[in-house]
Parts: sequence; C-alpha cells; structure tokens
Amino acid sequence: MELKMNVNGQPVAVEVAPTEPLLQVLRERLGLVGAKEPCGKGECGGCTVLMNGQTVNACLVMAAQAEGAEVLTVEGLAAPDGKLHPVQQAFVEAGAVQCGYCMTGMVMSAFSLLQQNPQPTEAEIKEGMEGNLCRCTGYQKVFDAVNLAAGRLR
Amino acid sequence: MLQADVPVYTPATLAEARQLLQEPGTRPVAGGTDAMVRFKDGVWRPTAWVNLLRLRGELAYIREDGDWLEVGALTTFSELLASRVVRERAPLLAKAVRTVGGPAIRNMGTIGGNIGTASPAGDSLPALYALDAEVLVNGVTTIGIAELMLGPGRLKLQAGDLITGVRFRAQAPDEVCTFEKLGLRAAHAISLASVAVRLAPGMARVALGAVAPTVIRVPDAEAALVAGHAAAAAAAAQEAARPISDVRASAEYRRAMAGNLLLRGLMRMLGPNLVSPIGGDPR
Ligand SMILES: Cc1cc2nc3c(=O)[nH]c(=O)nc-3n(C[C@H](O)[C@H](O)[C@H](O)COP(=O)(O)OP(=O)(O)OC[C@H]3O[C@@H](n4cnc5c(N)ncnc54)[C@H](O)[C@@H]3O)c2cc1C
Ligand code: FES
Ligand code: FES
Repeated sequence: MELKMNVNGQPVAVEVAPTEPLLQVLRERLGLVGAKEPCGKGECGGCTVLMNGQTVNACLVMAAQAEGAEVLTVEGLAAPDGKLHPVQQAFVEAGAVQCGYCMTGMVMSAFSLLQQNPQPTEAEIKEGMEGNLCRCTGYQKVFDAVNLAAGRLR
Repeated sequence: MLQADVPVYTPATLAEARQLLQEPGTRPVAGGTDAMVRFKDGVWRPTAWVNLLRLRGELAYIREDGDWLEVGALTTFSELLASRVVRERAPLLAKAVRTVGGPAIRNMGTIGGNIGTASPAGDSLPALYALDAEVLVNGVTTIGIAELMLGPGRLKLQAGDLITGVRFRAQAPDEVCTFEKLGLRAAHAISLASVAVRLAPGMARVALGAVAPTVIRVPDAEAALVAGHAAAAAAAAQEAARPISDVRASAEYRRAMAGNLLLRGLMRMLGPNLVSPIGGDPR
C-alpha cells in the first residue's frame, strides 16, 4: 500500500507492507534511524516517536494505522541550523547519555512529558519516563536532565 | 522483516467493521499493543487485520448516564486517566489504569483491547469485575464481564462480534477502594498478582488478577470484609486463587501474594491498624 504521512513537517508518500511496523518505515524506507529497535516489543521505549502529538512505541504501530498521521522523530527536534532542542541540550549538559542507544527514545518521552506538563514533580518525571529502559545510566542523570530542561523551557 | 502482505482493512463505520469481521480468520486491531507483539511472535496469524482506529469517532468516549458511566471500547488508557469523570466517579478504574505499561503504551492501548486480549493479568479487568461491569457487544447487547471471560484469550463472543464499550455504576462518594499490583518492578511490568477492592457500609468487592485462568471475584472474602474480618478475607483470597507457575513467579508465591496484596490494600484504605472508617473492627 501507499502510506501517506507527515513526518517532521514534511509530507511523505511511501510504498509499504500494511502490517510493517512504523519503526521500520521510518528507519528502512525513510532513512530516519534516530528511533532505535532495541526490543521490537514495546518493552523498552527505544523506538519512541510522537504520532499525532502523543508518544507511541513505533515498533508496535502497523503502517496502515499511521495513514494520515503526523509523526515527529528525534530528527525533527533540532532547529534547521542544527541547534539542539532545549531537551536535547539538557541531556548533553546533565551528562545523561552513556552508550546512547536508549537516548532518542528518552528524549522524545521527555519532550512529550514537558509539552503536557511543563513543571513536573520528581514523581511525575519518573512516571513520564517509566516506559523507557536504560542499561547504562541508572536513570538519575536522566531525571536531572528532564528537570534542567523543564527549568529552561518554563 | 515482517511476514508481508496480510491485508489491513480500515473500516469507517461499525457496520462496515462487522461486515469485514464476518470473514473467517480476520481479527480486529485497536491500539495494537497486544496485537503487534503477538503478530510478530507468530502467535496470532490472522488472514487480515481489521483496524478499528477510524471508529474512534464512534467508540472513543466517556459518558455519564445518571448513576451509570459508559466507556467506549476505543477509549485509551491515557484518555481514561485524563478524565475527571473517571477519576472522581470510578476511582478504582483510574487506579488500575494508572499501573498499565508506560505512557506510550497507555496512549495506544484501549480498554476494549484489554478486554479483547482476555488475559487474567489485564489490569483494567479486576476493577471492571469489582464494578460489576457489563460489556457492550456490537452496540446492542450487554454481557456481564465475568460471563464474557471464558479463559485466557477466550471470550464468549461470536465471529464478527465487536466489543463496543463497557458500562458500570459510578462508585458512591463514601466508599473506599484500591488496586494493588505486584510486578517484577514498580513500573512498566505485567502483573504477577493483583487485587481490586471496594468497601462501603454493608458492601465489599474483591477481585483478583493473574492468579487464576480468568480474573475472579472472591465472595467469601467479600463476606468476611462485610463482617469485619480482614485476616479471614485474606485467607479466602488465598483459598480462591488457582495460580500457575511460569517464568515470572511460582504458583505458591502467587497464592501467598493474593492474600498479602489484599491485606496491603486494606491497610492503604483503612490505615495500618485496619480501623474502618465505615464502622466495625475489620480485624
Ligand atoms: C510493553 C507492554 C506493557 C504492557 N503493560 C500492560 C500492563 O501493565 N497492564 C495491562 O493490562 N496490559 C499491559 N499491556 C498489554 C496491552 O497494552 C493491553 O492489554 C491493552 O489494553 C491492549 O489494548 P490495544 O488497544 O492495544 O489492543 P490490541 O492489541 O489492538 O488488541 C488486543 C486484542 O483485543 C482484540 N480487540 C481489540 N479491540 C477489540 C474490540 N473493540 N472488540 C473485540 N476485540 C477487540 C484484538 O483482536 C486482539 O485480540 C502491555 C503491553 C506491552 C507491549
Ligand atoms: S523497540 Fe519499541 S519499545 Fe523496544
Ligand atoms: S545510555 Fe546506554 S542504554 Fe541508556
């Protein structure tokens, strides 16, 4: 089928298998490899993107279910001149990134959390990030990064 | 790469969806959070998927109807959590839904899909049992939640039937309730055992999740709580459990936890001394 979406502000039309995961469409057909596929089963959050303004696990969305959707991936966060989004910048400055595999998903979840709740409490940050697993950082610096970004976006 | 070329139909009306589901081998998909996992694992291999997302206009809603609340099948967990009506008039459901997955799972996962998967570990189900919920089928008939659930993955539905919603009486302002869930970690984990409890003067509801082939109500525990006997209620919950052993936990552990979660819930509702604000001494 031909799948039409808007990805990072650009209209796209791409030939896909209808049950193909949105993640595969993004990575393999559109070359947007920011979203990762650590588990492929909804468990880890490494594939988190925004679909119609909400975070989804792109590994669990059938291509046919994304028809007409607005999709935002990590590639769409930075300004056109390459200046990082304040959430990304906060992750860099807080030292929240180690191997980086989980980080694009973390950043998208943090971005979405702060959109919905610009001043989250510590408990709300933990709840907002609870679908994103990280095998390196121990999470504390991730929470610090979200806090830092919240302060700056306010 | 996925096994290609299973068609996905996207009907625009309930009538059209039912028509498509008449074809043997087809299966509905709502949020896909169970469907995609099982499809990738090769456990569910339908001849075609019927994508329900375009029916959201018809089937994603939270409605108050006097003493009753009705929730459309395509309502997502995030929508339930964001609803003041649900938080205030069905706090038990709100507490249960809050424990489901993480935000991205709650954004896609629907209450209709939680019922449709018919897992004894489905976290909205103990709440729905404790609320004596009725499930709406095809927008016309209703069936009690316990009657609908036949076993793991098995529902009392005909081919082509769609769950269109679920309805239950709003909780009374003077009742207390809790949902206690035990997973392998605090968040984003499937239930090893869970319990939903409601208490009001002369009324108790206890439903256990993940400790039997379906969610179960425990009438003996309910009677014990009405009579004010917490320990007897916990013993009745353990007695009623019919758990399995699997990679996550042994049957013995699940059985013990069924009682302990009930006691933990009672303490959360009534305080550490289990002094009931609704009269009697539940010890
Ligand atoms: C990482 C992860 C974590 C999870 N954590 C939890 C958790 O903590 N607690 C929990 O309860 N669940 C959890 N789940 C399971 C899942 O998210 C829920 O069961 C959810 O409610 C499924 O809803 P859905 O809309 O995604 O259903 P789908 O996957 O679209 O469908 C599920 C099943 O229901 C059927 N179905 C869907 N809608 C209807 C309908 N209207 N009428 C008839 N049949 C229908 C489908 O055919 C399919 O068999 C988790 C899943 C993942 C991947
Ligand atoms: S790859 Fe999607 S959640 Fe892990
Ligand atoms: S930084 Fe390595 S998995 Fe998170």
